Amino acid sequence: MTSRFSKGGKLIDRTKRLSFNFNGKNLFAYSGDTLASALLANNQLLIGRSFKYHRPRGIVSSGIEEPNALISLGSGGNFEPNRSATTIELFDGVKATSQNHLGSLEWDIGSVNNLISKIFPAGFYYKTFIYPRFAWKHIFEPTIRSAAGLGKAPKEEDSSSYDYFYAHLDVVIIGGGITGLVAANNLAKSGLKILLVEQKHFLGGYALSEEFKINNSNSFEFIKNLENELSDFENIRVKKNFSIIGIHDHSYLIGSENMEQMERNGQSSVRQRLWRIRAKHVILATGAIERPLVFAGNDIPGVMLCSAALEFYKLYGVSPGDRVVVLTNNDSAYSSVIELFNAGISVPLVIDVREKSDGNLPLKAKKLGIRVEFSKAISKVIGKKKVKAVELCSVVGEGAVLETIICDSVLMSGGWTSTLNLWSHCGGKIKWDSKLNTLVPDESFPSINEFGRSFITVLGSADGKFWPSDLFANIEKKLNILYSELNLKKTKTIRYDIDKSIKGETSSIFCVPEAADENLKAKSFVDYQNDVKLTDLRIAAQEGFESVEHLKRYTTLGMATDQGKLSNINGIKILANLLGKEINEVGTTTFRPPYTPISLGSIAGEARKELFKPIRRTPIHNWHQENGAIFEPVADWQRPYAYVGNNETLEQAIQREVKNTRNALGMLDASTLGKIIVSGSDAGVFLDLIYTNMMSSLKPGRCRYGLMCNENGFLFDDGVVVRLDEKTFLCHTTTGGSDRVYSWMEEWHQTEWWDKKVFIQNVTEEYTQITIAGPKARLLLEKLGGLKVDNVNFKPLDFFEGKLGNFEARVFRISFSGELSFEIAVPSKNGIAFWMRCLELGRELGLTPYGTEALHIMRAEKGFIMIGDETDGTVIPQDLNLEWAISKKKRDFIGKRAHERIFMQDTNRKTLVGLSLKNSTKKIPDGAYALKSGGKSAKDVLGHITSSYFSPTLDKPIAMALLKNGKALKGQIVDIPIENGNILKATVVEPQFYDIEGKRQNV
Amino acid sequence: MSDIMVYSNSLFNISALDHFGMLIIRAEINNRKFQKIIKDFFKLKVPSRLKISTNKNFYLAWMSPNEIMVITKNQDEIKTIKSSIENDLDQMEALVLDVSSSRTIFSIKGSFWRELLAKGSPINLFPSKFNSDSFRRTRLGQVSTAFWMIKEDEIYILCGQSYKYFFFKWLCNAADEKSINKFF
Amino acid sequence: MLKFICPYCQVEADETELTPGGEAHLKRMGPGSSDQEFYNYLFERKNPRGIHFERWLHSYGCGKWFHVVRCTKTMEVFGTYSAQETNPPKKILDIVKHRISSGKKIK
Repeated sequence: MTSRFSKGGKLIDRTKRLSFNFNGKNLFAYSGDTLASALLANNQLLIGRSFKYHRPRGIVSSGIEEPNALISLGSGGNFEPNRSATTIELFDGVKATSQNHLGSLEWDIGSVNNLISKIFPAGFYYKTFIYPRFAWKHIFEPTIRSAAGLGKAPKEEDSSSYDYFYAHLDVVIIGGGITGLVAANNLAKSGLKILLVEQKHFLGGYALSEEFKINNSNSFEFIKNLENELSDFENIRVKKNFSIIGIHDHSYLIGSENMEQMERNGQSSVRQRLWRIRAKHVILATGAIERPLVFAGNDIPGVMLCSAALEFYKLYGVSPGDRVVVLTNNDSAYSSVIELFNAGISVPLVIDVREKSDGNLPLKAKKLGIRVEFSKAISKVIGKKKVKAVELCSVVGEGAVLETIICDSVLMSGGWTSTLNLWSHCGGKIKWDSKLNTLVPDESFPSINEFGRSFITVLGSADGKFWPSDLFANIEKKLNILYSELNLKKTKTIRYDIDKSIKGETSSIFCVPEAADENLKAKSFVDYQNDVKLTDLRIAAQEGFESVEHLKRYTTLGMATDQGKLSNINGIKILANLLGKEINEVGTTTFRPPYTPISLGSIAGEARKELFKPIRRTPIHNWHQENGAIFEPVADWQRPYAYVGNNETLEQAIQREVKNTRNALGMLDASTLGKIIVSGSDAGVFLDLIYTNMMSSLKPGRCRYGLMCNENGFLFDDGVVVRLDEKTFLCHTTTGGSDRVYSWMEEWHQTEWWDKKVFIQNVTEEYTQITIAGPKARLLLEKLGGLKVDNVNFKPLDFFEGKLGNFEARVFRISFSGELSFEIAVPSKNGIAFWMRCLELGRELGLTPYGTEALHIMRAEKGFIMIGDETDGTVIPQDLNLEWAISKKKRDFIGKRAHERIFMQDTNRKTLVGLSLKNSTKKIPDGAYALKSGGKSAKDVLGHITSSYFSPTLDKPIAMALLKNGKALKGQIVDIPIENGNILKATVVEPQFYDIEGKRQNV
Repeated sequence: MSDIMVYSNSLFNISALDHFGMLIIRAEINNRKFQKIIKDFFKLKVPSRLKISTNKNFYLAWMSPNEIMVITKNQDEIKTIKSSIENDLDQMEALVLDVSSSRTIFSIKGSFWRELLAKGSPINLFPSKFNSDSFRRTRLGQVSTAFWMIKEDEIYILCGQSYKYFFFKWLCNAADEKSINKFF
Repeated sequence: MLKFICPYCQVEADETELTPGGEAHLKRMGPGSSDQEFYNYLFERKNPRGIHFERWLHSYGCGKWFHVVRCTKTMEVFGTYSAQETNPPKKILDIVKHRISSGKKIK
């Protein structure tokens, strides 16, 4: 059984007991434990079930590479699935639940798959569930989904907060193991701004567990000293619980800082912080991960990596078992063996697949009296939910059993793989070094920065240097290169005195026994989390999946949440063996971000709920809100759609607002309309190029409706242009167009017509603009005072600037409703005061504010177009009968050349018409199709409805449509199919329905 | 209906300031004549790139190669200033606009303002890169802003008037004491 | 995540402060151009795997357009210059030439 030693454990504080809950059981642990060490201390070996076969699985590693021990953490708003138990620093009261089992963890109904696992080989899903077609959606997929899968999705909203942080640094050192710490120590005096990050909750890495002699002390003491020294440097920041998850172009790093512990104990309101870092240089001190060996039963709970067992013992005082058998292909496993043996654990046998080893460590183990068998392997592990024994066999051969050894734990070591994911995120290549038996960075194809220079230095075991003396030699050599690259003065090299005697070789044998029979191969797991076995890889290779990338997708090797941190190399080596190729010929899969999974919450950061997206408000917003406004979003703005009174429906409110404006007086908050100043001696000439109309001929003090097209000739914005004075124009745009049109003008000015002397300024927010419309509009302006508003002194399209009552104002006589109408702009600071003044003076005139829907209805009654309704990015002004707004005199304007294309003059283009319905009270659905009368098929489609309303003024539905050769259809009947097979019959009419002569606005 | 925007906690005091007047002056700001007119008028040099210059009455901020912004501490003067400077620049290709209503200035008091800004702005905020006379236009979260230092422990942030409610909420959220990173 | 030095501000602007504007140095075809010329101007765009001349806007900044020469494969940046330059400056072209000839695998 696994248990806690009575003493020891460098990271735990035995004076602080924590309680936690696993699958409903209350258990105890110590402060400093990870969930994994705590579970092992409580003899909880079985942690979860595998993805496909629901096989019992236990903890195999002690870090982020863990494929098995995935658990769900927390509950309610704190619930998070698929967390790896080895990376959770335990806190008091934590609730953890195992995943992926039907029924209990111990008795999983789904594990029936075990019996039929032979019919679930590689590509099983692709091959089996193709026919009958309908069955996938209705039978196969739902069944598979309920059986497979990991943790459940959270049901409640995430109760935690998340944050971003942007940082600029000279050097980021990734990895707080001995290599990273030594690198930081060497660079400390350079004055460079350095960030050192460590993904675990402690510094020192594996050197805390696998101790060695350095500078007359041991690595543990050495690390503690380094930590202390570094904290004195102003220019160095050290962060734990911090993973760099991606390195991107132009040396952009994404980091994820986990502050779960601080959130729990109330020190932080943020659970995770997403760092966005620009670094001039990156040092990868990411270390290495021990590889498993591939043998039958290597997934049974109790089989663990040697390094994990050593960490659990040294850091947390936890034993991996009472009787431990070790299987290795290298010397490093012996340091674990010696430590565990010295701790009093029984080690009946070390099985070494190599023929011999002359290293110091095996020698030392033998001297201690530990039985070591060379050229041997494990035929299979016996046990179901935990290890009971192993069967010893010869490395060569099929696995005939030589001896059965009773044990409760199997430790394995298949050599080490340098962690180089981050080296290749940004294009760096990696290669297999068969001498070192690991991946190494291919320095001739590095990740490069914007200057075309390599910006990543790989140090230590990440560079394939696993033994202390090699590692320190590597650090010294590579830092020297870095000094010259960063143009740093070489400071005195810090000398390290290292024990050079410990060294050893790793064998290339990892899959044992070498000629294992089918039964053994079918139990030899390569990828634990996705249940990929030796036999699956063989089938894939036989079926022709020779590329690693194909093999991976076909078998799902390395595609689980651990991204194959343990399995990839073994998988590639197996494929290479099967194909009889070198590993470098087979190639490696591409490492992509994120290196470790991060939560969606941290990607969203603070942008949730009311901070999700910027909202723009006019100065009248609060009044709208307090007076029953229903808002609609228009671009980023919130505009009142209608003001709903106490005793009316929304529909009634809209009808009332229209009628009131037509019969008395209405008022609209039009502040959101874009307002752009174009000023300078060439302003007129410039606007002639921007608008289809002639703007240079506009007289100061006058307004003109203008259209803007893009280079393709399509209409994209409209609005009233006012000439404020000789050199200054004020261009109104649509609400959605204010920023777009401003940028558009700037772009043309800066990049094409920079010879034109103009300045362009967006003044949209400077003014609160209010429309006063209705037969009594003039009376209100008279009451405000200061302006002669009779039809002679202030004609349609006139403009006035001066005092309106006590308000500095600009008044434009323009109408979008068809009524007598004035638009009044006052500085936004006075916006609400002016609005209130109008309300006060207008009360006896029956003044009522109206919203955007009433505005839309009134403009549609008049046949005025709306950008976005009548236009869709394929409509030219001519389609909307707006030829009158296109200057014939101008040599050039944006869109003119496009209009000259022959198909723009095709009479069959869709043109704007009105539609009239007889004896109907219901409006035509927006966007409905219009067909030839009696038409049935797609070729009979004439066009679609662009705007449709029930007109309160005319008491009937009205609509506008874009129909093929619309002009020729006047007076004809068209069919409009609606739901349930019904067809509306509509007559094509002129697209003006009310006051066609424009008498009302010109009074 | 008043829009009182004030927030404070143990680290920060945030408030919207309404008393400033603001002018935009567009012209070729490297032009010697222009520089002289500005200097004579405001008793301040035209700020160099990414800088803000200040005296007891005005701030002059570099906006772009052909734009500076004038911020007056007394809003009531802005009309007079506008017409006088417009007059002085009459012979030049220039545009002067009153934008006092267009923008809102937020004051953030508290020595951890760098930590707060670094939550939303991708720029380098180390004191060696952003200091007492720096003026930077950038984004904070999703909002277009510009900011500069008033004192060691106070910063002003400009944002568009229509965004001020949203931005105020963003600032208050970012100012949460227990979310402040101790990085700078 | 790219970053470019805005030639007006001289700041290293983050990609999130910028807006891309596609291929640079297009010659506008207005009235009087042939259909083919106009078509090419409007729709034909280079999309090289290698050296590319681009337009970018410092939108969360000074609001100015500028030109960038970069390699779309390696993301190397060779220089930025004003939007009012109708041709890439020789200085930048020399940098491109130098870096390619110095053995950098760009194409």
